[in-house]
Amino acid sequence: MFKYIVKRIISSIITIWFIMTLTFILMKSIPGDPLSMGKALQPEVEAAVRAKYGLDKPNIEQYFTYMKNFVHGDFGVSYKKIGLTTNQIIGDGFPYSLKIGAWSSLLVIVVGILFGIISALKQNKLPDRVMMIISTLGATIPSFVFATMFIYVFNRKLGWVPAFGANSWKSYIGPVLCIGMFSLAYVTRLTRTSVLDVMQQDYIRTARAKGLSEGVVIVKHALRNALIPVVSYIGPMIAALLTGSFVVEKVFGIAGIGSLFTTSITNRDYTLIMGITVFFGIFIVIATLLVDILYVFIDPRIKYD
Amino acid sequence: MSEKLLEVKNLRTSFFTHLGEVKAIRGISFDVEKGESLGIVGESGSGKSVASLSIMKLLLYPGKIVGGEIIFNGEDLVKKSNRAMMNIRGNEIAMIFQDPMTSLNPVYTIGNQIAEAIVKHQKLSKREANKKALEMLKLVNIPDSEKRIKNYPHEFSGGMRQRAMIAIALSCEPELLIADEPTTALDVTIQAQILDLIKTLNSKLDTSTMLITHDLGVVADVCSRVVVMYGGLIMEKGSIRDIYYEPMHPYTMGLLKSIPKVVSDEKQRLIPIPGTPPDLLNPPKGCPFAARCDYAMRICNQEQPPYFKSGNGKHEAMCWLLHPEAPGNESYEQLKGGVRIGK
Amino acid sequence: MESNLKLSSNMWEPLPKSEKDAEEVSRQSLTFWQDASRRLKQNKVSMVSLVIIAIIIIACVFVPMFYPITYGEQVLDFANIGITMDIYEINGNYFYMNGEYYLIDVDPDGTLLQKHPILKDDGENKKYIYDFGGQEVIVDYSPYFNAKLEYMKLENKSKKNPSIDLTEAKHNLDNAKKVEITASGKELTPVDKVHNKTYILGTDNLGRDMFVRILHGGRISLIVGFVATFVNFIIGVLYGGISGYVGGRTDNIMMRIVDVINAIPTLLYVILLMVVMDNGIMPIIIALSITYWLSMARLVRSQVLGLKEQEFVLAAQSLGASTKRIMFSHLIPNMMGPIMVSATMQIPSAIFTESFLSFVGLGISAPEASWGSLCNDALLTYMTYPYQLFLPAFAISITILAFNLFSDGLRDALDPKQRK
Repeated sequence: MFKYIVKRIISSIITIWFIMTLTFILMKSIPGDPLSMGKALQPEVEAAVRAKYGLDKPNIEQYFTYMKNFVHGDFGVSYKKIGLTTNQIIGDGFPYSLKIGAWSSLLVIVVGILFGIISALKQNKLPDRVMMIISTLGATIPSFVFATMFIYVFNRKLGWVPAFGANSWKSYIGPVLCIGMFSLAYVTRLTRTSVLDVMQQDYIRTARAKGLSEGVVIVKHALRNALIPVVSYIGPMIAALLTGSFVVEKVFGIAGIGSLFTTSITNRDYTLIMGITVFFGIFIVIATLLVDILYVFIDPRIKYD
Repeated sequence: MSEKLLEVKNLRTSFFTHLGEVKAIRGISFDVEKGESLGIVGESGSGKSVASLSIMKLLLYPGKIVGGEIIFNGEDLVKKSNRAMMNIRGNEIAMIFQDPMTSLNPVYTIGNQIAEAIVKHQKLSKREANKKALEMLKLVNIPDSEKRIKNYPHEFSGGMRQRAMIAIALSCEPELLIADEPTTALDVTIQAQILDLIKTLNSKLDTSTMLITHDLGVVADVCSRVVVMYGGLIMEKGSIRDIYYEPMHPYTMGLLKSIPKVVSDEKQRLIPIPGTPPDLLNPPKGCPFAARCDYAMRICNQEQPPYFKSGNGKHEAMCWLLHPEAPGNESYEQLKGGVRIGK
Repeated sequence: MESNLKLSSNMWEPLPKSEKDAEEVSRQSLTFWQDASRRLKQNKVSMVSLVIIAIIIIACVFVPMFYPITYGEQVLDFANIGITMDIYEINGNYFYMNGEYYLIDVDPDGTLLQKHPILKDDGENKKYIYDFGGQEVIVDYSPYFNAKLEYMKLENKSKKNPSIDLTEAKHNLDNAKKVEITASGKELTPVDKVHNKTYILGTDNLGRDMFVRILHGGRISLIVGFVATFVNFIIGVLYGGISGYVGGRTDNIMMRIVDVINAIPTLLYVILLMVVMDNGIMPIIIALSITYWLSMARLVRSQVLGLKEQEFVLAAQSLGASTKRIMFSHLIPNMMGPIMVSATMQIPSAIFTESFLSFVGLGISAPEASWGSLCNDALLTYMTYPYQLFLPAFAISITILAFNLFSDGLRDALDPKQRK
């Protein structure tokens, strides 16, 4: 078992290296110069700035410097927001996003699984049909549509929640819902399918033949098996929450890392884009790694190769 | 002689599908005596598995028992609530199924799955239950049981899994064990072992067995009495001797004829029974076997034959050929005197 | 036992073979595809979705060709006019007041004519003065303006002196009239609410027709969706097919590559690619095509692996069929089911991603319009002009919904394990 975990860790490190290298290559392949985007600078000033950012060195050397800095935790400096390091910028924005993301995850997991189970047990009856419709809508309506509609209805028309910012607890409702909506719908459907599938299995029949009560059959025998595929989804779910944050933070005016990313894209602030991309990438790789390890403890069947 | 443990009287079970009512079992009656093993033989669709699920009241929607009685230890199971049945299942009547791979929960250890029935029915503590589970594993001849008890189902071979299923079933010392095609999914060599085990445990623990199978060879090995089902009805029932040596029903004869003889110098053709089973959505109003029977008469299509008993009263079959006024039929009488298996 | 059995003599006659129904199999058997399409046609939701998809495609492709207004045409005077208008009447002239308190001449049936020339712009008193055939019409927008000014002044003061009560000022603000239109001292009120006949779905902030823009945007979104899916399909089928069929080390390596690429959410790749390639239709199609083939490849590979083991492949090989022939005539037809479902599910996914990207500022940008970019354009003003955002949003949602429902139905129809 430990060999497997070690292998997964190594493969995660390789993936992270790959992300960084890819990002570096892509950024360097953009035609033009980051410095040429802004005001025209006098030649001496420009040369000085170049030297400072190491832009005058050949690409290969820049690459190694970049990797070296990275290992030391230095993600570089923003070209646009002069004076701030990428680390600082990320550090400022991340807590907001993290908080919203954590609540979203909680919502998705608790509510999604619960709804999925109810739907499966009451298959084709009213609760199931209602939940299926809601989850279909949730999975198809793009998050930005949902976010804008949410603000329009709940802020403009009803005045129940503030339109932007992340101060009061009320202002969290919108973002948390919007970011989590797609995943919530997906988890509900996934759980439902999984539970339905598991309930058809022979070992459920065996459990009943042993005289166990239906409650025990469902909770002990069915659920543990049914939730296995749901656990596999947690990795991609985190990715989905992350990408959801780009839009939602923009619409709700939250200064989290998602909106930072979109702004840096609009401004073509390349180091920042790179830094945040690598940061996201690492975040996801680690999350996936943790889920994979968790998986080992849940399903005794997986083969360690 | 012996008292009756289980009495099934005119049981009828149907599946109410969106295409209509599929009458899987159309009135069967048989009993299992204490300490004996009864075989129920039939092809797919004959209703034999549905019969066992009906007895355990494990029929899933859209199946439903629509008539008859199932008397077990003096009480009619048909009338019992599901809660009451939970005390009987696994405790007084236990069941093992065809495919041991899928019948065991992959995420729990074998020990856990055996112990849970014990904890539920015998109210022992977890530790005591685990001890008992270990004993059960030894009883079913699983080697290295102390280590094996912590294994997961996928770490067992097919034969071992079926043994584990038997261990689970017998852990609470039920009075009746229903085995639904226990060896169909296993290799021939393992089959023999499992059947042997069932036979041994039958006498050791004084458990009655109801063995369901399509394989006449299996039945001969383990059971003392046989029930032959076709098209949701019982065609013939009797002792092993009766059925194998003096069959009365053309279907039974056909089954015996179709068993390939393994040991023979002569080249022989396999003799299957031509045709397909009847459609139970619209069951024939006469004898269900009429369409495939070599000796069918007009009356066979029109009306279901009653049961005719043979000499000793314990061997009966539903066939118009047994009616006193039925015309004689040479080949039929010949087979009645004994079908040479494989010819 | 024997009840009323009419034992007529012919009862005991042997049953003629013709009356034995043994061999008759009651229900006709259909081929797999016939059965699947029959099931699909019975699925009402899927059929309705298919019709909706067809309508959307036809509308987006053909209507802009014949429509009198083009998607890029700007008429700044008519900016930000909604779908319905409240119109006023004075001396037989009808006019409509837009969001900036300018007056526009209209026909009583809702056709827009032109912006009515301002006689005098009285900025100090916050009024516009117009002349309608000699009659003076005053548009006075001071009440709200002044109330707001008062409120803001008070609000500033209250920051320094918390004891100041803002409730009364707020109350005045909320109740203040936005604008008052008078003619000869008498206030004018709207006489009718008409649909905007010139611009069916209103105009955007540059006076462009929303209806045509949405249809044109639909073209872009649909093209991106279909082309990207098609390219993914080709790449995925080839990659997965080869990997699965060849097997062994090649398969291992190819799948390792897929695993590594898969570790990062595809969206990040797409974003990075878009940043490098800049906006436009081609870049976005390329970006989507390079990234989404992974799941198709995996699917195809597992299908091939499964089918490879089956005997008919062995049979074909023993007959001497070439690899190419095996792949095309035997393997691919059998895999088409799940592949088609997967492809049908990728189209809405591609449309979604495109609108997402355009919304965030990558992807399509002016003057081209896609649904996502239309939403992005409307973002600044959607509180006041919600229709500009919600119309394209609705278009996206319903298109994606229709595709998803249809692909669900397709999957159900092709799944042989259907209980029914």
